[in-house]
Amino acid sequence: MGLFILQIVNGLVIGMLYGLAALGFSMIFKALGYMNFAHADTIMIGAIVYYLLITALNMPFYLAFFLALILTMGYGVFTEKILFVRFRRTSPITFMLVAMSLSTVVKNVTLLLFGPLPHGLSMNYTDAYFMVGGMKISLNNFVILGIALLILLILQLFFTKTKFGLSIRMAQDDPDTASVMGVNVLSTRAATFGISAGLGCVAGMLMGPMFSISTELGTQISLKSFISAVIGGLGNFVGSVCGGLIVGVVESLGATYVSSGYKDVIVYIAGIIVLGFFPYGIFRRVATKH
Amino acid sequence: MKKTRILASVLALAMASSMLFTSCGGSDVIKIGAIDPLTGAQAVFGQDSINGKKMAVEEINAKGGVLGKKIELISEDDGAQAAQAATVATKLITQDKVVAIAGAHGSSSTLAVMEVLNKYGVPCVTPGSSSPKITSSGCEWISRGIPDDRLQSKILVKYAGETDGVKKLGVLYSNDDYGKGGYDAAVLAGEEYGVEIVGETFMSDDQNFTTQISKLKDAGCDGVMFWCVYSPASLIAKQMRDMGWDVKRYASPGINNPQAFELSDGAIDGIINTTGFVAADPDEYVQDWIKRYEEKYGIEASQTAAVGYDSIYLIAQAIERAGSTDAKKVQQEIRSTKDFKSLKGMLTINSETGEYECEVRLTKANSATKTFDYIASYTA
Repeated sequence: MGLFILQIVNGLVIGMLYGLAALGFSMIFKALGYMNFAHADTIMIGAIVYYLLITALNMPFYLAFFLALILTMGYGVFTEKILFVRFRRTSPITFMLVAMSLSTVVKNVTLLLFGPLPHGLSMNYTDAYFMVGGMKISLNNFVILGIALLILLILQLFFTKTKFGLSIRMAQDDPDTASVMGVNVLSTRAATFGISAGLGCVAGMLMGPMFSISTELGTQISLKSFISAVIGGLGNFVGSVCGGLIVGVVESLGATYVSSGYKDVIVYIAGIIVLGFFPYGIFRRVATKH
Repeated sequence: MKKTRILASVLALAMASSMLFTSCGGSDVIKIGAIDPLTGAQAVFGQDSINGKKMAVEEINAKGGVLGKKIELISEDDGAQAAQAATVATKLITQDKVVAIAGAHGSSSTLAVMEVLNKYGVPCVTPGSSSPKITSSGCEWISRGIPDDRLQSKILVKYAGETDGVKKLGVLYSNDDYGKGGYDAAVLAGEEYGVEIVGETFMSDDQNFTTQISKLKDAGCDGVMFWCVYSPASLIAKQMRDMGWDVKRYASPGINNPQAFELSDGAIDGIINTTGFVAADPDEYVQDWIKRYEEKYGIEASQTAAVGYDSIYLIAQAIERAGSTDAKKVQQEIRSTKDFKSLKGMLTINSETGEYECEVRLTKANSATKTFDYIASYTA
């Protein structure tokens, strides 16, 4: 019983991080109708910038958290302004190739600057824990879940209560009408890239201290978060987060009760089965297939 | 027309004479080939290895060489690619006419080189390849200068069972040749020493091991052994500490990297691991070598440099004993090496398989000094 609860908690924490990254994917897809395969880099950039601010500049973690978030969001806006905006009328395949190329460039430049060695960031928000059925469950897990939920809440308020948030949503739903109605679609596009990068950054910053920080961090979770976004229904924001949680819990329980060597196999097979029954994703009602 | 003919004949003469000179050159030096990954992902290891080999050659030449001749080391790069390793091995044998080869570093490269050795019949000592496949292949030209994974896994299981009294040992291994080899050996050793083995595996790029750790804990293991490279091993140690599970821990030599202390936030403290070469070995021969090496290259002496250094001495002494550069005789002498003073202890080569037979050292991670401290030497 203790093991089961521990694995559920583990699954939810890792799933929440997949969900945050998936949300970033989904947002760009909704706004542009394109897949941004360079999104996973923001996870790595977020974690590396966060690590450098804390270790090299001795910054307290909350300050580093905000600064890294702002820098990574700036990076997201920058990629749109410099690169992606020039490809807004191309085919999805061209856009995909551009994104993949950018991803390779960014990863290799980071590799040159940051080096190939993985680094550890020892940081626990709390040392408290409780025991369930002989298993120690750290409260740290719940702090991470809490931070992620807080970010989602802020995002929700931004999208429903602010004028800019509303205009971003409008431009995502129908850019042509929005532009006729006086919304500056180019700036909402840039904001979407910024927010998407920010979500990746938060996922990276929460994940980095749990694991190791290297240029491979984004690659490792990009496929899982992509699956999460697809299962939840691309373009559906609640679905992306729920998709992430589902992937996280399936992965964790599958590894415990089936086989740890086949952890990834289980996740992907489950993904295929889900898509077999729900071709639009579990949470998606719009009648367009991916 | 006449000009071209003259030019052609001059060129032909130049080529012929150069070939003549190279073949003449072979008689007053003894050529030894070296194959290392000087470029690519494993370049770090390749550089260390060739440093060690060059240092050995210089020392031997300064003392008068072998059979009264100087040794010439011909270094080739395999880029950690098996196909390239086979190509450069062929080049070393057919064009440079080397007497013996010291290489390659990676196990897959060495396995590819062995195909070439079988074809041409040239002795070879691999300083760095630890895959069990190398000596179980039946190749008569290969010998090994580093303990293989089976031996190291066996010794850790023996130590856990006999010294620490571990009854049920959990083995966490990466799902690749390296990890599986260590696990299989642990299962065999477990039967021999009465230790129950419980295996859990993970993908080599995994970062979250809480599931596997919980399962081993649930199974009631009183010891855990990691068989993987240092980055997952550090994370496993850290996650075990976070989960509040404090048991005896053992690790493959893969953990032997200073970076592991940072990655695990010191959680690897107290882990016992095997290694061939220990920089803290009190032996005077070893300490003197480390001093010379660090003076010469200005970098820390590593296990890879040490095995590279040893491999050249192993070959040179075999040639000296053989009294000639005849491939068969040299190979016989390499395989009959007994109690050779190496940087890893007294080394013997198994005459049947070419397997390394030497004591294996155990070290203990010390996070206060960020070093792996020497505990004891063990033989299986």
